[in-house]
Formats: sequence, C-alpha cells, structure tokens
Amino acid sequence: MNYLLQQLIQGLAMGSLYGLIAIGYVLIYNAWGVLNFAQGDMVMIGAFAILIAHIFWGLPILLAFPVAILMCIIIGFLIEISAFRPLINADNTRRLIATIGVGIFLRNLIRVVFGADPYPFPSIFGDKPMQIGGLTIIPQNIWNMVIGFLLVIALSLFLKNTQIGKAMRATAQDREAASLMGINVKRSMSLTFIIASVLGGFAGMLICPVYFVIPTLGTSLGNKGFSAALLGGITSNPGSMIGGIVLGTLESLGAGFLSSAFQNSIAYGILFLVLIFKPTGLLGKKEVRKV
Amino acid sequence: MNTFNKIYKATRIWILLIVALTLPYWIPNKYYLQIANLGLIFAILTMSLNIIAGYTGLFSVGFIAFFGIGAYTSAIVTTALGWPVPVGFLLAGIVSSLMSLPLSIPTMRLKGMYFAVATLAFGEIMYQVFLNWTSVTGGTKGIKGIPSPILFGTSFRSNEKYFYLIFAILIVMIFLTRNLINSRTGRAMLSIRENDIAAEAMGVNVPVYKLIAFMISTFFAGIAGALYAHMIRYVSPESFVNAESSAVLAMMVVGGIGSIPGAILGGFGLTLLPEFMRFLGNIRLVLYGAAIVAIIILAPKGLGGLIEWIDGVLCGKIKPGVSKEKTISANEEMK
Repeated sequence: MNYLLQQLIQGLAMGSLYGLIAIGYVLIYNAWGVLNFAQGDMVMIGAFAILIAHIFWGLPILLAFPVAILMCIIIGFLIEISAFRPLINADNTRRLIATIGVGIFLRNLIRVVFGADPYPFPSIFGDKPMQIGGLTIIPQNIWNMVIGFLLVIALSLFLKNTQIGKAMRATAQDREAASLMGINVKRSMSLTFIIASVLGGFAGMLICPVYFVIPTLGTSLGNKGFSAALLGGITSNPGSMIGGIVLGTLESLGAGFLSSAFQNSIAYGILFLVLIFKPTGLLGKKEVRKV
Repeated sequence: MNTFNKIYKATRIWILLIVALTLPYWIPNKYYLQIANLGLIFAILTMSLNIIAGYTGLFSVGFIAFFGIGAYTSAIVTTALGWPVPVGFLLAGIVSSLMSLPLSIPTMRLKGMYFAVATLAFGEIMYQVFLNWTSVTGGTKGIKGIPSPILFGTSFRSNEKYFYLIFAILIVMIFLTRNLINSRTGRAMLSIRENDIAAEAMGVNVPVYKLIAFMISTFFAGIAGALYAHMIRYVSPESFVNAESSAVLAMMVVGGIGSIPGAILGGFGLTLLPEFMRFLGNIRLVLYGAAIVAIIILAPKGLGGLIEWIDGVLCGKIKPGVSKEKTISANEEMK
C-alpha cells in the first residue's frame, strides 16, 4: 500500500511537470494553430538558463530564477520573430517542420557552447527524503507539484481576469474577429508565445535537480508534453494538466509494478488506447466540421 | 521556345541518368559514396512517407519505426536463420507492411494531430521493443555481421555495386509511385487528403484506401530499412529513435510535399548537407537546423518546387522575371 502511494506521489510530481510542458503546446496551438515541436527544447533552454544564472554566475537561487526567466523570454521572443512570424500564413505542415528545425538548431547550439557532458544541478528544495506516516517523500517532488499547480491556477486567472489575458483568448478563438474588435493581434500572439516559452523553461528549471542538464534533455520531455497535451484534448489548459498527471502516474505505476525497461512503452501504450476509445482526448470536445 | 530549350527538353532525362549512373566513378572517395548511398536510401524512405503523409494527408510522426522493422526483419532472417538476402528484403517489406495494421486499423477514426500522437506512441513503443527484446534484437548491442546481398552470383559488398542496387530500387519506386498517384487508388488517396468527408460523400471508401496507402507506404519503408541494414551490416536501436522520424518528415517537407523529385532531393540533400558542412566542425548541425527553417521560409514549394521552376525556365515554359508563384500555378495548369 505504501509502495503504491509512493509511486503515485512520484507520478504526480512528474505529471505536473509534464502538464506544465503540455500547457505550452496548448497555448501555442490555440493561438498559432501549430504544434511547436521546439517546446521540449525550451524546457532544455530553461534548465540551462538556471544553470548559467545559479552555478556559472553564482547568483543566489531567488535571484537566479528571475534572471533565468528573463533569458527564456528573450529566447522565446527571438524564436517567434525568426521562425513563427514569417510563416504565419503558411500551411500547417511547413510550420511544423520549421519548429523541428528550430529544435535542432537550439539543441546543437547549446551542445556547441556547453558541450555534450551532463551538468549536475543541486537540489533547490532539498533532496533528503522525509518520513511522513511511513512514506518516504522527497521535498523536491512535493514542491514541483505545488509550483506546477500554482502556475496553472495563476495562468487561468490571468487569462480570465486581465485585459491582456482576455485579448489573448479572443485572438486564439478568432484572429480576424479579434482584430476587428481593436485587439492588437500580433502583440497578443507574441505574448502567448512568450508565456508558453517561459512555462516550458520553468518546467526545465524545476526538473534540473531531478535530471542531469544535457542538450538533449528536451527531446523525450517534449514528446511527453506533446502526448499529455493531446491526452487532455489539446484545447484546454486544465485538460493538459490532467493529461500530464495521467501520463506521469501511469508511467510511474508501470515502472513500479510491471517493468521499468518498458516504462515508456506502458505509458505510450495506454495513451494509444485512450485515443482509440476517445479520439479527441480526455477533455476534448467533438469537432464538428463543415465541408 | 528556342533551340536550347528544345535540346534541353529532349536530353534532360538522359543527362540526369548518365550523371547518376556514373556517380560512383567521379565521387572523390569511398566515404562520400557511402554517404551518397545513405542519401538514396533516405530518398526511398522519404518517398514512402510521402505516400501516406504527402498524398493521403495522414501525418505520421513515428515513421522511422517501419524503417526499423524492415532493418531488423532482414537482419534477423539473414543472420539467425541464415536465409538468402533477397528473401530478407522481401520479408522486410511484408513484415513492415503487416506491422502497420495494428497502427492503422485502430487509429482509423483519429484526425490530424491526434493521429500524429498515436503514431508517435507507436514509434516509441517499437523503439522500446528493439531495445528490450534482447533475445531477438540483441538489445543495445544490436545485430552484427549482417551479410551483403548476393544476386546472380555477384556480391554487392562494395559501395559502388551497392549504389546500383539502391539506384535500381529507387527507379522502381519512382515508376510505381507515379503510376500509383495517377491511378484510381491514387486519386482516391488525394481526395482523402483534400477533404475526407467530401471524399466519402463521393463514394470513396475512406478506411479501405487509408489502409492501402498505409500498407504500400510501409512496404517500401521496410525495403529501405533492409537496404540500410545490409549496407551498414549492423543494426542497433539508436538508428531508429523518434528524432529520426522528424528528420524524415523534414526531408519530405524541405523537398516539397507530394512531389517525387522533391522527396528524392529532400532525402538525398538533407542526408548530405551535414556531411558537406563537416569542415565547419560542431557548428554544422546548428546551421543544418537553421537551413531547414530558411528553406521553409524562402522556398514555399520546397526544393522540388525550385527544381520544377528551373526546369520550366530551361524548357522555355516559364519566362524568368515573372513572379514565381504565378509561373508555378501556370505550369500546373499546363499539365
């Protein structure tokens, strides 16, 4: 029983990070109509940003976070103006491949600058296991979960209640109508992209005490985030958080009870099954199309 | 149309053929020839991806799995069972084609990105199978000592001879693809890509044609995989990671979706590009990523569109100086 609970907590912690990555996919998909395959590499950029700020520059962790976020904002903005804005009217496949190109570019740029060796990162919230009611809990996991959830709540409050957030949602819904309502569409699309990049980067910052920081950190995490986003049904932010948690929990239960070698296969196998029975994800609405 | 245009039009296919057939003799060294062979194999793989993703509009993100299935099938059959290599090639295609059924039948209802994520899941699962089914696939160690094909008493071990083998298969593939897209089946596939609901209303049996597209496409992907396995003579799971699927997708799109010359150029070009940039050292892959983005922004119809345009100018069909978009659409009307 304890073992089950422990696997669940582990899964929830990983899942909330997957959820954060997934929300990045959803935000960009809704605003730009394209899946950003470089989102996983934004996670890697976030991890390297905090590594640079905290370890290389020696900033205290509380100062390192804002600096790293600033770096993510700048890089997100550069990606948007160089690879997304010029293709705004292109068809989806071409835009999607452009994002793959961006991913290859980022991954290798980081490899050229920092080398392929893994960098260890000290735990931010402590990695000494605590004993609570017979359970062994690593504080980092709990904090990751809490911060993940807080960010999602903050994001939905921002989108619902602020002027800019409303403009972003309107743009995502109908670009043309939004621009007729006097919304600066370009600016809100830019802003959506940057927020998505920062969320991805933030997931990277939270993840680096758990994983080593390497240039290919983002590839498998990106795929997990992408899968979580579709599992939740690509259209809603809470949905992708749920998708992330489902995926994380399945993965850790699969590893704990079946076989750790097939950990990924189990998670992806269940994803496959869910899509067969619910083709538009767990929370996705059925799309009605006109010919 | 002047004399030059006429001569060009009459001889272009022969010039191309002669250049291609003499390639092993003027390429500077063996290493580059092997890379060229690899480029041709990826050209075949890109053409087969084109059948489902380009012509039928089923966006597959885990396509490298079928390349891997083909490579492993032929490797296992020729090493552990000791069967002749041509049988391995054929089985690679057949097994790969059959293995597409557990992916294509259940995902028939999925659309767009949901289909893409299902193929991603399939690719990931197959990779795990290659990696963990140690008794059959050799796990991380892979399979060594895969024999070279022997046909009509000649061994295709040398890169020069292997080049002609790949080239022959590529030519067959070009003819089959051309005939396929101009056939009833091909037109049904194109109609599914344009609009599946409209296609169904016109009496196209959408699920059946999706299945057919899948089986043809994965058959060739399997053959390409076997070509790869018998050229490198070693297979390991690392060659079939999901990132390779995006590389093949990039080849298809950079070449130009739904274009045969485009698929060949994309597959061949994107395999060779990092090698040509080798003198730049580590920075080459950074530039490779940037080049993909640049081609997509600058050449809306891909490299294939660019070549068709140059071809049109040389044939005198297109007057240089007229806007490119216009001439390309005019060119299509003429067809």
